[in-house]
Amino acid sequence: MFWRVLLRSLRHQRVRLSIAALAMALGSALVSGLLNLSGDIGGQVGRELRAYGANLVIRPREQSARVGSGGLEFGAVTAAQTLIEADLERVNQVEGVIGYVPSLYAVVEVEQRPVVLAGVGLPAARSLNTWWQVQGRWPETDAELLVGARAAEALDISSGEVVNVEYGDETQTMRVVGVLETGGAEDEQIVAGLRVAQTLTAQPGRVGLVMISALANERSLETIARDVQAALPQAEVRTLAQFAQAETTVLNKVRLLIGLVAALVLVAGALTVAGTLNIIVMERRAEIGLMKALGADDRRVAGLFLIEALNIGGIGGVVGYLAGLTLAIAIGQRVFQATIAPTPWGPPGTLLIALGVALLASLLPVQRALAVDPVTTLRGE
Amino acid sequence: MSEWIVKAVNLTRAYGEVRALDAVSLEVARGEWLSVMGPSGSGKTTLLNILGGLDRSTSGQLFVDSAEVTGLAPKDVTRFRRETVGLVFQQFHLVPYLTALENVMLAQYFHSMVDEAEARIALEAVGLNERLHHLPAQLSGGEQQRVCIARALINQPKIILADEPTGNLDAANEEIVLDIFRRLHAQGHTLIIVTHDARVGHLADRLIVLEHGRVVRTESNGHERRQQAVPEAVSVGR
Repeated sequence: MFWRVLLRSLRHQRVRLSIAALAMALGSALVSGLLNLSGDIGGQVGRELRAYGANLVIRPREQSARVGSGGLEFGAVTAAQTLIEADLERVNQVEGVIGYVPSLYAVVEVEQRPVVLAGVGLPAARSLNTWWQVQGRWPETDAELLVGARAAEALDISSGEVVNVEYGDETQTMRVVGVLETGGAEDEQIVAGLRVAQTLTAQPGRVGLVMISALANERSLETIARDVQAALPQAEVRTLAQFAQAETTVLNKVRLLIGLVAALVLVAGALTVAGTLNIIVMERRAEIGLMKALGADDRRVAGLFLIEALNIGGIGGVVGYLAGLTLAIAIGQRVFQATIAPTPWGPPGTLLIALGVALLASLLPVQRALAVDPVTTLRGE
Repeated sequence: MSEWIVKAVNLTRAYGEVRALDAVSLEVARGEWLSVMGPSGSGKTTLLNILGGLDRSTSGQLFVDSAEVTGLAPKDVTRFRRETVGLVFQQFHLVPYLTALENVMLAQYFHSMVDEAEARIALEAVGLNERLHHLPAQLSGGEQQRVCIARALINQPKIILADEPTGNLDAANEEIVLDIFRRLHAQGHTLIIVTHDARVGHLADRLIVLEHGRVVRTESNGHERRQQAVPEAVSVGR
């Protein structure tokens, strides 16, 4: 009989309850969207930030020797050190590392003027250094190079020209295929493939500096740095602390924003449900009074309204979850250009929150229902 | 007077300085039909509400079926209402989204177990066998009052309390409802009916008149409790 009364009651008030469920669905949609997004938001924001450069740098450990003669000390002599390129494969196996750009620098002469040649892993640089702007195209062979925007002016060379790159006795003829603008030191350099620098400087298979892009989402950047260091004990691994801090700050702010918006939406949803249930209780005072007059105890009266509240929460939660997932996917595509995978705890999370909020919102209306005086209400007051 | 089922001793209900009921004492015999009359504000409905456990007296004692009702805890008063009292209202007070049958079953649900067949019989007993699945809005006032009576009787209450049961009915429906009360009385039900209508009041075994919360007159109508064969149509008990 309880369910019969409940179903009839729900049907009788379907418009009002639908509005409450809709309000709950709107709140739940945002919660669901935020849950699905926040499951991946660290990764998304991290990946976005990765577009602005590496956050770990590897360089060879300095080996220096103090030199002197007799009682005189002349200072330290530091030998130019490099790393073995093949060893870098181990970096890729460290959890959290997205990729790395190996490079080898040398001062060369172009048109009889000294300029820094940066030999870099071009495919990696192109995918990780997404802010590099190339007018022309990227080099595709070892006979092609990019010239930094300021270097191009200084050397008076431009795209399409053929230049001689000299290092000691070695000379290589190369074609300029693009002008590079990064806003950094590369603007004053010429950039070619790593192999070009290795060949010119007769250091095959060696690299001088490695920039690593790591995604510090679930693991801290320091943890990743320690793992990279363990993989390459002969190298020196450093975090770009400022960058890591900025990333942490941004992530924390995004999460705080998400939390605040979700809380506000839930409060709004709860108020709507509470308002609707209050109106329903007010409208059904005579019915509640009658039930009490017929001998209904508080448990049965409260049960009726609590189940109605759960019904609002349940429908709102389910509809809201689906709408929120759609919202999250749309935001993922439009804002982060990425596919958002549904979080496994999205459905139970959204539903539980919606049910909890609806129950919480029903407490006051239920109290009002329990306080209904049958004498007064049956008299029509 | 034969064995009482209701006994009120100095029942008083005060609202601040105003005494809606002022030291009313009365006894109602088992199977008796008592009418309560009086002008508006005389305390008729207040008395009925206290007898039905809907309201509490400020002082005095009330016994129903040998048990003292005054002083019961709220949950025990609730149990008293559902097990001892059948209520008939002037405004019918049917749940608008439940059919006639379901309205009767609702009282069963609050009392104990729902028995649709029994609820059906109760409605048939008041002549509503064709209207079982109609909503209150689809019923006439007289039909709604008959649903209300069936609902009041379904749990076999010890006393039936009716507040102006014919107050909202036309003459034809009033007669139908009064006939039901006559037959219930004949079956031995204890009826306490508040009414403005002198004709209804004088159908009772005894009539008390209230004024300013006090019993100012008692009339015995000299009705003999009829012991005639109980008509099938109103045998709604289990």
